[in-house]
Amino acid sequence: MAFSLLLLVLGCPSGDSTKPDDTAPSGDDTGGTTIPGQGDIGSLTVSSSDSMSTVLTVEFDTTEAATCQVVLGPSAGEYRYATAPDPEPVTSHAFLVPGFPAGVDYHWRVECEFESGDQSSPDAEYRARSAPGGLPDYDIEDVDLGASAGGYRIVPWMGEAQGGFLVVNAEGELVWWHETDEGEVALSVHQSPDGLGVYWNINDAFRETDISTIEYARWDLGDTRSIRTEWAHHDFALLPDGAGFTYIMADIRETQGETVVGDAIWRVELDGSNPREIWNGWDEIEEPNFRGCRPTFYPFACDWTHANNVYYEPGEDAYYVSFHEYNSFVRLDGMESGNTDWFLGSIEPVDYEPRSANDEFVHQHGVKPWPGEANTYVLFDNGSGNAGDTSRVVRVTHDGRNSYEVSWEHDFGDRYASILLGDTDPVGEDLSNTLISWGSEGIVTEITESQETVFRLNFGLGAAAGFVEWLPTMGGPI
Amino acid sequence: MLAALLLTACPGEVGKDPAEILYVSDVNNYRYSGAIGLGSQAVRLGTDVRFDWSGLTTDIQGHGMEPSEVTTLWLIWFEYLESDELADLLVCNDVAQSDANAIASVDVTGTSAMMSELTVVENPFSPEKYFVYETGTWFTRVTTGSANTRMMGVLAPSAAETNTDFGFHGDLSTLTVDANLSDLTAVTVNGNAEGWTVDWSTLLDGANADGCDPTDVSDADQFWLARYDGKAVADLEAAFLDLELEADAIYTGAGGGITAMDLSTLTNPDDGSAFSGFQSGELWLAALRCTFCENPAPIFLTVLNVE
Repeated sequence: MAFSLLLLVLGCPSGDSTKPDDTAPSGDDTGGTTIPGQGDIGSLTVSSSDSMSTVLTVEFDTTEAATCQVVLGPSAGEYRYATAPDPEPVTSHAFLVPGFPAGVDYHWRVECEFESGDQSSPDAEYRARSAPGGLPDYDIEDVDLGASAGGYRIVPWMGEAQGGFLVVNAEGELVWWHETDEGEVALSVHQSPDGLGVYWNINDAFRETDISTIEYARWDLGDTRSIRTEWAHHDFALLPDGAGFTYIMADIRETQGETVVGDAIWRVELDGSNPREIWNGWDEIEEPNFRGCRPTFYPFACDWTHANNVYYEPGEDAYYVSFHEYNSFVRLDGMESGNTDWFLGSIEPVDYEPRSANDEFVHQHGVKPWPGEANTYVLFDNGSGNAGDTSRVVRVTHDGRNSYEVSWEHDFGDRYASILLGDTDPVGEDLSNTLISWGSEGIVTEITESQETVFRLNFGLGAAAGFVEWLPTMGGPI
Repeated sequence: MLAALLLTACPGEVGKDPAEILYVSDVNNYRYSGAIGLGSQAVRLGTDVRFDWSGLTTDIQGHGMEPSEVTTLWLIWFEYLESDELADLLVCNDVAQSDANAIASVDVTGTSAMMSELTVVENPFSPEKYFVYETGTWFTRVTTGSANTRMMGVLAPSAAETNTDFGFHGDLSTLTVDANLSDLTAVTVNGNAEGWTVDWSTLLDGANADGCDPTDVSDADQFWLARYDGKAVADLEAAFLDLELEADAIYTGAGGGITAMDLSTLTNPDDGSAFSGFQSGELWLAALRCTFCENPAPIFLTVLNVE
């Protein structure tokens, strides 16, 4: 109602004031608007989301079956971003189109591939409303669009007692955002396989109570769901082909007279049904001496293995799970079976002690296979947190036993040491660039194989960066 | 219903002019230069320092306060920034997360707290383990809520020092703002209009702070409107940090995510009363504020002269 009133006021004569010439249509002005098509592309019905004005819905028909997508960019003819295309040629098309930067005049059109050739609709212009206040402040530098992966980046952030995530395009413009409730954090975020929405996990910021869920929202907020995942923490993997989620679960046990938090890996269906354990660290890792341990991380218990990332590699049908307190990660064979294949790294529990000569990575995050290089894994090596021991990204090549060597490393400089979080992802069309979250430093970078920085996001004071994800496209056919 | 609203909003009522849209842009914005003087106190390195704000009865803006209004104590180590460099960044709201090596905080209920009560992401901050560096800047502040800084200062740790107390008081650090409201293009308001909307859609990122990079307009999360009776613009310049205290009426509205504000939706934050309109001859200020920024100076502020 408030917006309707504003429109009505704006629609009246404006007295002595002079309206500037360069105002563009704002967020909700396009509700149900029809704009002309062109050639074999019929007229387009366009509506914007009242809840998230950076998202449009575009519907149209084509005279013949075609594979279409919506492209968008800063000016006519400069369409740098796109939705996913129709999976097959059709004549009736409907697209959810996220990706319009908040408060920025932007251009878009439909592009279709007909059997007779390519056609496009006329250029159209749209400006989403500005972002709300209260989101973490950030700036962007070192953007090289020619060398970067393009697309979008999901950047979770964590403050003192609250979190959320931003989605920015390759130029750093804000296109989507979510802020958690006070006392909650969201560290792991994934676009749904159909491109129409986003999943993220919710945990208690203080690790005092179990409020863990996996949340879903369609990009236009037209559909939201919540899936309960008991004692889930840190990270979850979105499995392919609608196979559900796999997540890290805090397995709390009384042992040796102490309350201790270990880790298990659980799986659940997309609708939250059939939660089941597929791996448990209590069964696979020898218990150390817990007597006299003091609570850390969890205020009520001693923290043991502290798993901090789970990644599923479809090509291998295997999981990789990283353990902060063991300077190691494990390969689990099989999406459902989760058999321990091998551990790599320190097999002794560790604390924040100086890195030893044998520790090529310490308190690592974001472990996953590096594409195209057999037995090679990329990870974020946090470092020990001690003076001079800074964070870096490394690729380690595994010999199949508990032996490995660092085959590649990226050091961001001698002053950056992330004491928590961090992540790495291979990105780009050929997956040769690396997207890096520098965790508590509040920095996200993208580097090329030759280690040239082609994107950098710096959070203002008070926001650490969570687990990042690259999206080549956002949105797609509904 | 729709037709009724349309009739209400449009011109034609006896004695009233059409509703007015007040377009504001960069020429209407004020300029200012700010400075923070960070006071420091020597304390013993590696010891469990006691922070005390029982004597903090004036905040950094010079406003009276009760020590019990403090809700959070903060300690942040900036390893690579000297105190004066940090002060310059604070003035410009330009401190990056990566500038800070460790951010420790604790929610408080009394008027003092020990350093060992602080936590870093809920992990204990051990003075013996972490408060062991004499380099860089150990910045501390007390806030009401998580963002409203009431006082700030710097610990100067030294192994030779015997003092283990850090006291917050009204003179510890200073915030000065030299605002220029005289050279902006004031906005003329028709006091007889049916209604008013302020539109800042063409306002560029704020480059109104001397020596600072432009401030992102989208950081604004509050629209602020205040009336000043019997005062001139020069009076408001001189009392810039007291604009809230000097106002005869204040109305606010959520300013995030929009580029125009229908003033009829504003309310008085104290009693909830709605903005009822302008009267000829009045002097008002309109501002876009960032309530979570370190520097409380508005991102945009202009003068409204009502005719």
